[in-house]
Amino acid sequence: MLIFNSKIEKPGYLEKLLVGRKKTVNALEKSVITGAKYYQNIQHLVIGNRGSGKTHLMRVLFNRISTNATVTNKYCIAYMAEQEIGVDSFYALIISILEAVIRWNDDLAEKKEWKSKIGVLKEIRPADREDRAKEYILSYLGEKQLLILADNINGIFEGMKLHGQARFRDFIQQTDKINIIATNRSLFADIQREDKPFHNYFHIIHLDPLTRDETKELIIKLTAIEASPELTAHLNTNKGIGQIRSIHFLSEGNHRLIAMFFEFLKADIKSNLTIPFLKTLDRLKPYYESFIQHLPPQQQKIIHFLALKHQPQLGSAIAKECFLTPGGTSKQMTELRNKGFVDAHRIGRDNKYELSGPMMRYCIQLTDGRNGIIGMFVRFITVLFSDAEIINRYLKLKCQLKEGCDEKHDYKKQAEEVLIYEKAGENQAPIGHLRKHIESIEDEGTKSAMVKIMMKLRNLHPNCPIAEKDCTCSQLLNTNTDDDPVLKIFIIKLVSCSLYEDAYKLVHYINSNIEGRSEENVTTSIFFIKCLFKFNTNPEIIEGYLNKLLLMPTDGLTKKLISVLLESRFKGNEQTVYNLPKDERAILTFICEKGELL
Amino acid sequence: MAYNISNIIGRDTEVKKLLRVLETHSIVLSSHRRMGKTYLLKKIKATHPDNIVPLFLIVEGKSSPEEFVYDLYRCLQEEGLITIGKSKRFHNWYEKTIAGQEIKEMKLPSFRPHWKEALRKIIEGLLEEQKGKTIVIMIDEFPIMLYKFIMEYKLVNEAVELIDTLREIRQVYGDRGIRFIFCGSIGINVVLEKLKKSHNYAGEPLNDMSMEILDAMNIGDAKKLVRHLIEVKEISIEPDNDNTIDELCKSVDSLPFYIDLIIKEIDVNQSIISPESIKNEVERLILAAGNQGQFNHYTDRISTYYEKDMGKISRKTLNWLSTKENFVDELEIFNMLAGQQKIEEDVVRGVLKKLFDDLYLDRKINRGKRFYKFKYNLLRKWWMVNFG
Repeated sequence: MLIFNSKIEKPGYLEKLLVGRKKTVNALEKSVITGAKYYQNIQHLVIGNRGSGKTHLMRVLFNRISTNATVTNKYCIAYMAEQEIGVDSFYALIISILEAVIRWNDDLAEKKEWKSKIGVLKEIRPADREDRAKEYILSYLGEKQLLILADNINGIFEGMKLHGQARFRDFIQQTDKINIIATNRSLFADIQREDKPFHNYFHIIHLDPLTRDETKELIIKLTAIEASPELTAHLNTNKGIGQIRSIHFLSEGNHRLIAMFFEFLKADIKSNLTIPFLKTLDRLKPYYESFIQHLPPQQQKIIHFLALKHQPQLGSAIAKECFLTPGGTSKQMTELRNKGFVDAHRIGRDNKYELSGPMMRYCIQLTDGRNGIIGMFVRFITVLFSDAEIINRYLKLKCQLKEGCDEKHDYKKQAEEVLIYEKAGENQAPIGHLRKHIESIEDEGTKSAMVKIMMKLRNLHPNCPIAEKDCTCSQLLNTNTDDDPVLKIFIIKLVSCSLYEDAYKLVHYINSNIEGRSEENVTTSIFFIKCLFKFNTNPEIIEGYLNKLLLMPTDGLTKKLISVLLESRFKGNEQTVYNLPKDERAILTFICEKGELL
Repeated sequence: MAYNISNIIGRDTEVKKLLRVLETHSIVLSSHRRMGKTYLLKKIKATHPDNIVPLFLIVEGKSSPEEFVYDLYRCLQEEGLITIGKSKRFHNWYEKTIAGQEIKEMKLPSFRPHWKEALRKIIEGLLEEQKGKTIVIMIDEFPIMLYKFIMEYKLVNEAVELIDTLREIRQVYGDRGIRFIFCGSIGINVVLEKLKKSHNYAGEPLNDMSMEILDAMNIGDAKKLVRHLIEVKEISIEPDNDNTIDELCKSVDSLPFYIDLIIKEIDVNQSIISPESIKNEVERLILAAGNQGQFNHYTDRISTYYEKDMGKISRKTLNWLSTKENFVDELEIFNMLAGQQKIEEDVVRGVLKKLFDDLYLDRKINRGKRFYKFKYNLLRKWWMVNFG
């Protein structure tokens, strides 16, 4: 298994797998080095969800700085790697710090000496221990500074309680020798509340989820470490690309989940993702249950309720369904948010709540029946499988809406071609490069028309005279594309890119070409609307078009999403988006990102 | 404890001013969190003239007056400012009261009745040992310690006794050169108000002290700080001229914490300092979720330390003022509040005065009329985005 343990994995592997976090580690490393050179205080707190790579990041940082003489000449490093359980006072923290320093110290004689000193502390009276421990740590440091690397610092702070925190803060201020780089799952009350000693003490660094490209990079790196040529080849196929995208979607860019998916993916690369998905859920179930078990019963009840409800729920609904008082619910929800279990979205005076990670929800739902999960999963895969699949789906939709369409037509090739244009457009590839692709297409018809258009636009982009732009684009917009919807979209896209500022022409074109055309399918229309957004035209006109869209025939999910879009973006009610469950919101975002669908 | 002050940039004017005041008076030094109070005290400690003996003590974590006295004593001992052997008076008292016991026994309950006596004796002993010098005891987070005595540990009487005992010490031994600096991020007026309103305290225990406020840096110091941070963090600046630095300072009202934060953020993002990155970063901090800009304490301190009604009116006032860039007539503010609720003019005046004292608002007086606006434009913008 390559679900590595950051604390025992080889430094080289950890560096290699540091995807999406390199910038943060580099910045922290630089902060430590400049701190060492110029006596700068270090007070960083890295915030990231479970499995977002915090421990990994800290371990890499430790590996780097503990082998850097500039740093070690100035700092004693206390690397407290998730082992600091039972810290219930400032005194206990000092002991943990001493133990952490000793743990990573290679000097055996020194180790022995300090172990015996910790032994002495056990023998003296409790009232004297803290002072003696402070003396020890200061004498251990000598002229050096202390750099504490602490995972999940909230646990330490909770254990010390307010009194211990205040004493710790006093010690830091009084001695001017203590530096901290810590991690935690979320921001917590002990650093956020005004009356707490560490209020606003840390410089906060948030870890973002991995992007789609970073997910791909991580999976490719994991594959490279596994040295599996078959898997490497598979990841470059359409199916492999689709699977990577699906993994990113399902894992929400979470390192740990990606690594788990990868394990199952490599075990059975020929299957679709359903089996790895269910295996991952099986494996994750005890993992999530272990978190939930430690919550108070009321919070467990709320989490269970939210998981089964699927859609975000109002606080008042949670109170009612879980038999709680509104005040009690509000308190529990705040705590659940602080613990990182729940997200909240403000709706008027109330909040809508949902579980932060979809995987936790699926794990809970798993107990209630696998069929629902599989159904949901199949829908994900349908939507997210690959670019070609999406375009195929889109073309099929167009065709079904068109009278007399041959439903057995193979759209794959056509879809792939559109994909080529899309990719070239996204990357702003030179026209010549695009032309090469187009010229390699043998068929006539749509393709040759596209080549001609590309040639015409070649000279327009980016700085040709406006008059010339006008003339060419007018010609293009007047091209008869009634029988070729793909060509129509292609033209409009190119023209809208070239004439970004020419809103008037586009509106005119839409007026004369869309109005009253029953065969126009919803995706084409949405594309026009997207152009309208860009031109920031009169909102009333936009709303008019959107309302017409709702009257057009389309599939249920698309219609639902458009309706939400209409509500949220044009009626100024962005909160309606939160009527959708998180996964459908993600699909909406995904669709919005896809030019050909929106 | 010797402090390295190579990172304490600027504030020389403030240090000079405080030293001048200390010649005659003790000081209450207030400001918001992260303004650089502790650095300032450490700078005084590191750069004091020969005739001054400074002691820096941070007391947020003390849970009782006896612990405070004990730690003061320990700190004086560690600094070598007091020794039992040489300090005759203290030693005599010590022999009589807790003779034969180790000094750490002062922590035990048996020491509880003696802390006031001990404090006096410690000061006497200190003055004896440091004859002819001005002793400046700088107590950081003093108001928070008192607030916790009152609110958390239910030691109201002890808090009052400590305030009164320290006043008595200033009066009795002031002529012999004892001075205090009470420093804190919550104003000590908040503590006294609490004592007056909830515990019928009628004293004016600080009226012999000079009230000083630590504000944002002057532009010269702010620029020095920017230059220093750029150098130590090895960040590029483009264009590398005074205008870029000036822009950074102005965009954060020369608040040292925000200068540091903006540069840290630019550093973490591996960007360079330029007019554009400054603008983007300031905007991002103002708009960011998750308290990235650490502005929340400006609202939290109202909900934490203000009386409920006072807090509500303060919030309404600030919400409205955040939409105004320029000074607004006090009467206009009253009219706004009166349009929302029944309210007396005196109450509004009191709220505005409190917000002014608490450094939220700036005030100018023109032809006898008072005008207010947000003290820091950066805070105003954040407030407007979130509550305006």
